Amino acid sequence: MIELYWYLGASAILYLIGLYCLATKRNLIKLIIGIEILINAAHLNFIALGTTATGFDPLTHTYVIISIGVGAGVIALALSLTLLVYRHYGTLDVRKMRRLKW
Amino acid sequence: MSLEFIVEITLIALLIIFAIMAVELKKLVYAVASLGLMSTVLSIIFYVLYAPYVAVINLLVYAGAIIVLFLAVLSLTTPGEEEKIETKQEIATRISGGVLFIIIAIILVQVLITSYVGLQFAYGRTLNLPELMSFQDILKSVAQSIWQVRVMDVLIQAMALFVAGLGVAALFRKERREEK
Repeated sequence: MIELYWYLGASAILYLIGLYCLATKRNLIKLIIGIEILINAAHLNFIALGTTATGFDPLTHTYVIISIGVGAGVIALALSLTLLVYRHYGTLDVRKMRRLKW
Repeated sequence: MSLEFIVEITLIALLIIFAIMAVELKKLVYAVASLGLMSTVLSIIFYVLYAPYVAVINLLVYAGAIIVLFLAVLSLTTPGEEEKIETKQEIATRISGGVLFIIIAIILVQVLITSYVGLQFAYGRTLNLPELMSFQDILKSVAQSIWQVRVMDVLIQAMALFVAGLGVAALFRKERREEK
């Protein structure tokens, strides 16, 4: 394993990419991609902090496995909501979703 | 520079490149494909970081199931390409996003530096874990377990993936015909 700060920096850059995606993109699917990149950055940070040159902490692996399951649920729910939104509004642009009535 | 260093730096660079591609590519199918590649590279990084179970589960869930879900939703919505609008609002959004990006970057770098120093202090004192295998030994044991112990599973999985790929290809082909 190389020095820890490489991985911390990589996860920070990934986190920034995800935030940039959430802040500037308008397509719903792009926003979900941004959320997934954010989740992946958090996982990488967790695993990197749990590993040293001499060993690792198994508890971090457990937490990350649980978080992967939760994240997959979040992404699946967001995708199903996307499908419903597309059927209701006929578009995936978040700026055009202003009506609240059925 | 050792082999380990080169491999890990290459993996990190690939991870970031695929993430940027997933965000910036205009065609959504290509963006989702590079997201899948990013998850695959992340799984390899988890393996290198001595977390094999996390790597396998990440590969199964994020690089497999979630990407298939993305493709299914894309084929049901068919938004095609992201539309190109260059209005003033668009430019303002991009500039404000860039400013937000820089501010958060500065904060994150500060947090990382402080947490790294604190972590070195904490781990130097508390953790005394047994030594692990070397990098070459890990590669050897993985190759052995894949191609000798679990060869039937690998073949069946490859077949299932091949069939799934064919199914996705057939789905897109049918849609193209309908468009014509």
